[in-house]
Amino acid sequence: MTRSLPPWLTHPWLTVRVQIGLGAIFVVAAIPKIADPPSFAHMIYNYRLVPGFAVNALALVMPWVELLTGLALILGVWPREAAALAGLLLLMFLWAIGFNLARGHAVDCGCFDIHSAGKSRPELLNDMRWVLVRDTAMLLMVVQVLVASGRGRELRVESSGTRPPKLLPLDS
Amino acid sequence: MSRLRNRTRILILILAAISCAAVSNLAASRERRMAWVGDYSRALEIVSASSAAASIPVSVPTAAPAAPAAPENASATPAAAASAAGVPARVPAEVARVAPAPAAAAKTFAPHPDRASVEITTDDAEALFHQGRLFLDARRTSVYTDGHIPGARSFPVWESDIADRVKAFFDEGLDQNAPIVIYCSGGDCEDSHMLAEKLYMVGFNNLLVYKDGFPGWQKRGLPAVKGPKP
Repeated sequence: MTRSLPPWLTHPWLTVRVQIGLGAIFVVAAIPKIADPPSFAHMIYNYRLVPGFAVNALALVMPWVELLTGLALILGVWPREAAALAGLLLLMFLWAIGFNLARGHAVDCGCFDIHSAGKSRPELLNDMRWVLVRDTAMLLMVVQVLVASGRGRELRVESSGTRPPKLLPLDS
Repeated sequence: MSRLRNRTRILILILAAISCAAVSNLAASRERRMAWVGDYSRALEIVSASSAAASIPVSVPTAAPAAPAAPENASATPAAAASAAGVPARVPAEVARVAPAPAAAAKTFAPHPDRASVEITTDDAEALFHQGRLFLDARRTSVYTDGHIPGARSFPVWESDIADRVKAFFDEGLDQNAPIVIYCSGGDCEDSHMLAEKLYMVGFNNLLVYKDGFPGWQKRGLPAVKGPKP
């Protein structure tokens, strides 16, 4: 699949920037949640999608997953795995927002600001639509990182396949 | 092999996140610490404002023949009301100087043991305030400190020690039939309903949720105080 893409889409220059951008977004999103888990738990509760017993655990763990994912992307440590995890998180956010939008349940996103802004229902619903657009754009960034890193891996395999066999010392 | 390695790394990231969360939660202050297992019975229910308002009566007039005895009698002063309710006087002096509103003498609130809470309006809350009834603030401690109704006690439902606070409140031996006003941030805020449920479970049965909350109180220009104390 990656062979059919224009080379610039998977160019390392672009991939590094996409990785850092995506990672930075995740880090920025995680910090206020880590700083105030009860407020984030409140946000999760408002979604009405998570069983009561799991709300606190999710509020405690999810921001750290976001932070570590973001840091891994920025630092280039396990970028493929971090991008996959970011993709899973984004799919979860898209489902949560999309499901509530579909059933007309207006919620504060709680993506970057974990304190209720006191917006009206139409304002919240409008914000939710924008969140869907934003998260979809971020998902495309994830796809870019995954495809580019997959292509890099293919190239490495190809090059290793054409590499001449290692010569062993005669006395071995 | 590569797929297994990818999955292992993802698992390591998640386990690292859980470890960080555990350490962070252990080291957190009381205000931001949480129990790992939540206790939210209505986490999957959607409560629309209109349906809630339709199903819950707003207030009970004085003339209602079913109104039970002693604790609900409206009192002219906060101190009298507090002593009648068995609650220590907690309304600051500047509040006590405020003349009772005309509506204060005309309203009383009967216990409702069949439901956790009854919603009340700003008028009702104001009347109860002038009667010196107990107010509980269900918002976060930091928000409470930024401003609250004078005399209101802080009961942040989203903080880890809420169960201890409820127990301590019960141990005070207050009259469980006396009206207690609970408020949060108005609008869709459900913190006051959650606190009402917790108090209802330990036996309080005259819990009044002030649905417009602190924003409604401020909008009316009613007194407010800042700081960590009631």
